[in-house]
Amino acid sequence: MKILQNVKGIGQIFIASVIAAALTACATSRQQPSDANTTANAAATPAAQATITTAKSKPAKRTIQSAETSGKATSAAVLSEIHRADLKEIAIGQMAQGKASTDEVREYANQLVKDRTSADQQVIAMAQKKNARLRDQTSRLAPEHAKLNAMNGPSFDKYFLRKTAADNDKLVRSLRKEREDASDDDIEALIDKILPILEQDRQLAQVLIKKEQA
Amino acid sequence: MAVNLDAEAGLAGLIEAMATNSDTRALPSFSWGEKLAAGAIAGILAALLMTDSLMAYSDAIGAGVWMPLKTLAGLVYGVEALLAGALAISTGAGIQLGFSVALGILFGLAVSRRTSVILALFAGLAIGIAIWAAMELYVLPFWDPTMEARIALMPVAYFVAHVLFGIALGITPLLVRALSRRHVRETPRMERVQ
Repeated sequence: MKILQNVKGIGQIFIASVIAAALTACATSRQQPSDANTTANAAATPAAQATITTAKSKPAKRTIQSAETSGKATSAAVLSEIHRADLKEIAIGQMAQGKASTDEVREYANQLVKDRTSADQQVIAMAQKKNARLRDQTSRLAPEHAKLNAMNGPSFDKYFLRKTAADNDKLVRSLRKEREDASDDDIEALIDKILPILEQDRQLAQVLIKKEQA
Repeated sequence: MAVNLDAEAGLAGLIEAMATNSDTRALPSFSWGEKLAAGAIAGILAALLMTDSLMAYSDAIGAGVWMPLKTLAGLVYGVEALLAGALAISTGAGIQLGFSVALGILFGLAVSRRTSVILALFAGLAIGIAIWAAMELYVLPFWDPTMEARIALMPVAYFVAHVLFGIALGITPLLVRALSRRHVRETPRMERVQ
């Protein structure tokens, strides 16, 4: 009986420790924007960090302010770039949902719209958090839309797949570069979340292009 | 004589009370069938609760209502699961349901009359969290990057879904007892006494 009680006690301790470990892992496994934000605000750039530690003179304060301002501007620029690309792909994808000639291309268009919509929600949330203004230049896309609108059938599919693959490729390359240069942890975390989705969408477009060529 | 009659009536009353009350010592242990059925029902409930919560959240963030099932099918089709439509959805549902029912049955088989509901709930919770950790650390990064990429946009919802899964598994002892009580009620009393 005593052994049974001991086993039961060990079991309860084991369960408690598993839950505690899992909760700790949950808190640390993903980079939460709120955690990252505090560090990002504390030190916008390495230059700013150095300035904080050296002196409290007026020029130093100005350096900190300018570094923070430039960091904020960079963040806003990155967020605007992703937002613009998202809106563009969503618009093209919605057009393809109605005009694609095969189920697979239509399914890809659906996926593209959903992926970019969910990614854009993250971008908008980040912009609100950082008080960054997102520049929306969708009016520039009118000629491209008109060109796509004039196409039909397989020619539309072909152009749509190549266009989205190229756009995704361009954004992936740009975000990789931004990821390397970024001094803001929040922006890094956001890019880390979005990049794999963009890469998979590009992969899907390439699979469909290959199928079309075969 | 009158005293004897009173004693007989009292004994009959006692036997009747033992047959109908919830004293576990008066009842036989759970049958394999009851445990299997209760485990399977708990597994189905757990799968529904988990999938529905994820689907609702996924729809709310614009990723689409079928995203969790489609990306789960990524275990079989890779990234092309996103193009497979209904086939990917049914494959994802099959994987989720099969795994949940199997786990529910294992959980059901481990239940005895002496298993407390609170302990079972904690055990279910621990299993749910352990599955979440295994998915995050091993399954998604190596076998299903399609799901990993999209779950990264909803990490808290994914964790909560596993907690709900564990809680649903934890109600297995209640289900076994409910099934067993029904079985006892349907069995003639003489059979139970024998």
